[in-house]
Amino acid sequence: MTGGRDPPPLVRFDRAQPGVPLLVTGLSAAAILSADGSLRCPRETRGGLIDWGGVYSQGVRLTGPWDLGIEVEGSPADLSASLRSLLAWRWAVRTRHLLASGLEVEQTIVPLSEAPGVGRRLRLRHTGTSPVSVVVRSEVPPFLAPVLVEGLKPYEFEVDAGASGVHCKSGAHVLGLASAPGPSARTLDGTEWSGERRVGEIGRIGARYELALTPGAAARIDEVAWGGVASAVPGGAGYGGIAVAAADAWEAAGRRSWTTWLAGTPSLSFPSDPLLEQAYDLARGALRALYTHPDPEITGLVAGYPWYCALWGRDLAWMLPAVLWMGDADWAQESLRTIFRYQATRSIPLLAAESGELPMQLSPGPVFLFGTSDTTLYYPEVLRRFVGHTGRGELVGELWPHLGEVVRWIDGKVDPIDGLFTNGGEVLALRDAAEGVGSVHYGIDAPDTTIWDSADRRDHAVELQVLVHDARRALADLAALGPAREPWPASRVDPARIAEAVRTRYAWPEERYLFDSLARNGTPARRLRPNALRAVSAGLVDPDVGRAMVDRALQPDLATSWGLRTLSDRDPSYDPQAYHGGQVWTIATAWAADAAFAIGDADRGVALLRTIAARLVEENGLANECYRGDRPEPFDSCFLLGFSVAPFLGVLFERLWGLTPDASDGRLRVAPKFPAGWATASVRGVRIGAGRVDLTWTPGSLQVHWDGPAPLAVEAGTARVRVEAGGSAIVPLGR
Amino acid sequence: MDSFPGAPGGYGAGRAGAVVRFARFRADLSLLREGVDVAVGFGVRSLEGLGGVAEFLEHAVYEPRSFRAIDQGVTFTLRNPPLRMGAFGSIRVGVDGVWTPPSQVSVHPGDAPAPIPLDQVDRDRPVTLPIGLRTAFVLRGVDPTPRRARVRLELLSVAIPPLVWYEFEDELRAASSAP
Repeated sequence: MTGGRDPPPLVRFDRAQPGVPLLVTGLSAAAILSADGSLRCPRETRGGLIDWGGVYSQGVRLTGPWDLGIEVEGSPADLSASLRSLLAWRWAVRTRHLLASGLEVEQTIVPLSEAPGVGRRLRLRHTGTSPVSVVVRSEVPPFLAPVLVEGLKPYEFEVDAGASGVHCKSGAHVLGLASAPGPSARTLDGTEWSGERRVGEIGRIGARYELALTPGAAARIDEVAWGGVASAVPGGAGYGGIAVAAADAWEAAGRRSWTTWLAGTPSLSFPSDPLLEQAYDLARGALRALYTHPDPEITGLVAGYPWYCALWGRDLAWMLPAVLWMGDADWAQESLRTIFRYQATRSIPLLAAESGELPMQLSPGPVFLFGTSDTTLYYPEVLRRFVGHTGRGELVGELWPHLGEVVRWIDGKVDPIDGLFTNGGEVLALRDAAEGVGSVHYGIDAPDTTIWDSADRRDHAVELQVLVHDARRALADLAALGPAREPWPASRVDPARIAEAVRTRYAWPEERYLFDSLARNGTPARRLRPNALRAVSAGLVDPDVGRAMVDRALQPDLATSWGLRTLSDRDPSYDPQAYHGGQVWTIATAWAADAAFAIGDADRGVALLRTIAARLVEENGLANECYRGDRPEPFDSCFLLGFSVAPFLGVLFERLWGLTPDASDGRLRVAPKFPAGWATASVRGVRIGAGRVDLTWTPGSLQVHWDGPAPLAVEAGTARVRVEAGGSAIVPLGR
Repeated sequence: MDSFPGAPGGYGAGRAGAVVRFARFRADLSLLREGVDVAVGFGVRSLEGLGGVAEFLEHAVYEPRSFRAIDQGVTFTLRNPPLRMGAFGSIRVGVDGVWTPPSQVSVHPGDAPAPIPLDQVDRDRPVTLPIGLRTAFVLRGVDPTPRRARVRLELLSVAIPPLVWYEFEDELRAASSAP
């Protein structure tokens, strides 16, 4: 511990837990390891076993598992078996090992705050009574593949080493390795290497440190692995040496970055439900773990770890509302600028892009790809929320032409005959465009690209109609903030017509639910999925229908004790391990919670939130993407996904607390829906514009404290109370 | 043996010669135009980044020049799984439009102890194609005459339903030629 007092760790173990994944992240790099202290993380992935351990930076997996071996007097030590303590924070992992020979080893793994890399500090202390010779071996397989390309690793590398360390290159990606002190020897694939340039297949790059320790003596080895996209990595060849020279400051810098961010976020207190309170703290940290700023052009949140650690437009849209609730308006603003910067300005079939479309994926390079039916639809509403939280209407002006392109894109996807938004076929143009190019062709026969992009839900998936409805409504609100002399093109999309269609054409009386989709000819897809609940949340169905739909969704064919399935287990195509055809997804559980609150059923809403909370606690502050449909076991699941965190946070603020900020107008609407039996709840530090509000709820009453520079109008039911700048007030609530 | 799209007599028939060359020419021009669009819209660095990924995708899976004749068949090597990682419950392979019977195809992934016949691969006995390690395919009963040939693989993940397909074209080299 250097430079301050440690906050409580996220995870604390006193013996190795090799099956437990750990993640430590900075803004441009991350390390994935296991709770045995090794930078290995073998994990079931798409039904196979893949080791995800190692270093990730700038959207590039830099290394495979970064192995450490220690020999004392020629005998190899078992670092896992000798682990005596493991403490993990979001920004660092520290392990202590006591070897049989009396050698104590402290290891700290820290993503570097100011650079794209990860540091590994070793402190050795000899507590025995006789001198010992110690050999420390550090070995790393170069990986150097962009994370958005699934399952590929280059097999040719160019490598050399000099006084500044090892430099490895493949394609546009680079890896640097440096240490202080320098190693006694280097190896390539297990044989001694003097550092001369090699090109070809390289499996492992190693360093050997030979130490002679007398009783009571100590030694230190600081290593960094850094790199990413060659054109965006700062510092040149000498960077590694600079980084290791600052090793004593690594951990404090990481901690400072995190604690500063946390201090700006709201705190929640639920005395009647400590599990929810604990889960909020975990989810907040998990969201921050996804922050990324890998180069000056890209700010946002990666979708997840380990294999979705690039920026995905859809996932970012689900996360930004939670970022706003965390009070991080600047991060949300830069994220919005990032995503609109890569809006397609014309049709580009090779990227599956239509003019006006926002990107599906984005990674440093920059590398980006389009071809989803929903990503673009989210952003008008996200921007409307941004204005509501911050009052910064000028961002709307800045993005005005981009929003006009969104209007055109939406119109182009609406069927002129039935007036419904059309999904499917987005990537077919890509295949056609690539057909005649090159001697290698490949593809995935996925004709559709909704949020369940491995399912075919053509032509008019129900939640996309809800999204279009919400997008058009948001655009109508945003239109008032832009330059009147530059109106957007007139839209032929009628939100009222879409809402009516959802109510009537999607009605599925036999199930008291909504159809999952409609074909262009009107044929309904009689598949029971949680997606239809988005219509309940949006208020597009009558209250009685909404209640019936929530009742139906919570029947055991769709709902389990660990969350909601993506498809009813009564469906003939149900498969408990199919990604979007039966697995349980936490985002679907959050949708159900949201819908339950929307119909006023606080007890079921909270029960669903507790389902998510239990997973967050059990998973040590990570949040799996999905689970098998037949048992609560992650399958083909990233161990942390923004989808599984951000909607949970959103429901806490928007539904349980019922908060709707309007910073432009200095207003906050509060409609809490706490379960009967709760005695009190409080939230402190919710940012609205330039101020922060604290709320304490007791049945029938709301205490408000506001520190903003101008008065805040707090509305609750029919009550409206003006809270002066820096003042407090009590708002009566109807019971 | 059944055939797949692109087989002689399939959709490829009648598109030979000038028609195919014209299609290729048109695709190249289209690519060029789209490259200009990317550069104009997002900067030259974007074009470089995208081009680098496209090149990586093209070269990272099939090991160039590994398509060779062997005794009573052909073999080739993949260096990575095609597009989808993880375990596959079904794999089929064809050459020049004709599927090779699964019993005649074996896959030897990475450091697995022995080759696995494809007729022994199913959802309960899937095969994982390793990342960054060689996986050898052996197809018995395929004409080993040296020629330019097209190989197609179709794979079904045990986790994500949509079919993954991968095609490469290369010279089928004689058994004695160096890899």
